[in-house]
Parts: sequence; C-alpha cells; structure tokens
Amino acid sequence: MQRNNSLVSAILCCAVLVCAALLVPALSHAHRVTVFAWVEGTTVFTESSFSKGNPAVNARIVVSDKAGTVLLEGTTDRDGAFAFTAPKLEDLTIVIDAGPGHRGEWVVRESELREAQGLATEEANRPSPAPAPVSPEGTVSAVTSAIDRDELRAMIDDALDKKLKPLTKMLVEAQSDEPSLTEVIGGIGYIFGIMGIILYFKSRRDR
Amino acid sequence: MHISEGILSAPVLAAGAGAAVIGIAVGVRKMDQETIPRVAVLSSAFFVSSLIHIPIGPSSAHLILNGINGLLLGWLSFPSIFIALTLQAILFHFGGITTLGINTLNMALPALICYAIFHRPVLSDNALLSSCASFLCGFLAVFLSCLLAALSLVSTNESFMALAKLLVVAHIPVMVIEGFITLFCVAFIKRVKPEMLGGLHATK
Repeated sequence: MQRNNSLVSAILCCAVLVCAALLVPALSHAHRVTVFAWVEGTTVFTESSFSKGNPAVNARIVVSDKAGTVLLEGTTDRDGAFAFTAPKLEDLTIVIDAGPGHRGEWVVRESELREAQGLATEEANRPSPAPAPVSPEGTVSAVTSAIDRDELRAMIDDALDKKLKPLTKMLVEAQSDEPSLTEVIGGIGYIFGIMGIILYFKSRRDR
Repeated sequence: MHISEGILSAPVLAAGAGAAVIGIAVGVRKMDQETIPRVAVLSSAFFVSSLIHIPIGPSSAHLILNGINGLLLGWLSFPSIFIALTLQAILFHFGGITTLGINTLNMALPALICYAIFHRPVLSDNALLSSCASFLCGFLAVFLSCLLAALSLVSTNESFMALAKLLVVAHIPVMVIEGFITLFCVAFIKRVKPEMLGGLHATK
C-alpha cells in the first residue's frame, strides 16, 4: 500500500512537470539550432535561430562545397542573419555552430543558385537588339516587344522571389519539430510500455 | 546538454557507446519488480525535462534532472536515462542517434557518482545535512555532466578549459534550480516513503 502511495505521488510530480512544460509556451521548446537559407541573385541569405524565433546571435557559419572543402566562414549578426556571395555554382552546405554541441545544417542546391543567377546570365547573353533592321516598322516593333517581354519576365521573377521568401521561411518554421503534446504523451507511454516488457521478462525469470 | 549528430568523431562515439552499454547492462541486471515502476517514472521525468527551458542571456539551457535520477536509482539511472534519450532522439529529434551512447554516459555517470556520494548523507536525521546533501546532489550532477560533455567535445579542436567554462557558466542557473528541485523532492519522499532513498538493493 505504501509503495502505491509513493508511486502515485511520484507520478503526480511527473504530471506537474509535464503541465509546467506545456502550459508555459515561452519555456517549452526543445533546444535545437536551425539554419535556413535562400538565394537572391548572387547572394545567399541565411537566418539561424533556436526553435521558434530566438535568433542565434554571434554563431559561426561555415560554408563548404560538395567535396567538403570550406569555402568561406562568417558570424551571424544580432538577428541571426548572415549573407554572402555564392562562391561556387554547386551544392553548398551551410553549417551553423552555435556553441558546444549545437549544430544545424542547410544545403543550398545548385539549381537554386543557377536559377537565381540564371536570369542575370541569360540577360547578359541575350544578343543586343541593336542591329539595324533596315526593314519596315513591323520588324522593329517585333524586336522591341521581345525585349519588353524579357524585362517583364525578369521583373516578375524578382517580385515572385520577394513574395515567396517569407512564405518559404514560414514553411521551414512550420516544419521545425517542436515537441507536441501528442509526442510527449506518446514518449511517456513508450517508457511505461518498455518498462512493462522488462518487468514481464524479469517476472518470468523469477518464476 | 545533448550533443547533436555530426560533431563528435567516431572513436569518441564508439568509446561513449561502449561505456554506456556497460552501464546499461549493469543497470538492467539490477532491475527488479519493485524498482521498475520507479525507473519508469524517473525516466519520464527526465524525458520531459528537456522541454523546460531556462533562458540565459542570448541562448538557453534545459533541465536535466540527472541528480534526482541518480539519487533514487543509482545504477538504474543508466537504463532510465538511455531510454529517455532514445525517445527524445526519435520523437523530438533532440540529440542524436549516434550520440546516444556518449550522451547517456555524460548524464548517467554523474548521476551514479552523486548517488554514491550523497545517498547516505541524504538519509541523515539532521535536516541541515540532509538538505545540503540533496541540494549538492542536484547541483553536482549537472556540473559533472557539463565537465563530461566538455571532455567529449575536446576532440573538436577546442580547448577543454574554454569549453568547460562555457558549458558550466551556461548551466549555473540549471544547477541551482536542479539543486532546489532535488531538495524538495527528497524532502517530500522522506515524508512519504523514506525507504525509497535508502539506496537500492545493496548497490554500493
């Protein structure tokens, strides 16, 4: 009987801990550091934070290529941000080191880099519209409207980049795994389940 | 202080895993029908403790609860902490899978050491001695965990003293809070069921 009492009280203590953890949202998040990066033009922007919102300040960022060679290093500022010019057009691995034992990683794909810069290079490669079409107005206006269309495309892509950036950021944040109540309860259930199995085998051996 | 994946080198991970396996094996062998529910409860407490955050300046630290784990479980704190860490890694992606061994060692060994030092003073009738012992148990367990974690991280090109200082300073609020938590838990258990503190089945 006494043993049951203490088990119950111990369970109560545990329950209090769980409630404390979950009813105080400001305190209740697991402690991971994540880095998120996006590309605009030739610049790669990174933002790093602990769980939701708390920026990782003065953390070390290391950018390496596919082979693992370190391409450049930097430190995050007060908002956890760090930007750099893409040194190479291949998959870049961005690693953040926010103190002992805290490490996060993000890979910027080569396709993303090419796409962000691709427009710039495409435009540069586009043959200049100068050559004098000694022909009637029709051809000249055809060339002019082709130029406009390209510029328009560039403007639209720019605008889309700006609009999508916060959305992509939200997606990454939404994916960041904060332990939910379900997971906590599930975990505790697993613990009791595992202990039950151990108990079963121990009791069989004693018999 | 859960060490994440990809930081430690293979030899360190292997050594940590090896030592942890030994501790867990000893712990599991010592488990019996009476102590298993206790292990379950303390393992759950440890599991949940990582959710309780203590903001310290720009970053923050979380509770560890290995002091009370050690005091009530002794060698059994190895399997208790190991199971909780495994579930934290799988469900919360907190810590790593390859680092399970070294993390278990870093948190369970101090628990065992504090059990060895404090489980008798804690039982004393002198309230002051008992309170001090419980507080120190919680305090020291976190402190030793910091040192062990710093030691594990030494292989990553940073000096031990710098790491140790960083970790210890970051965890001082945690140490103090856990000292008090252990103090209150012990006071409570002493009133309800003092046998629970009496050390397990002749471990030390």
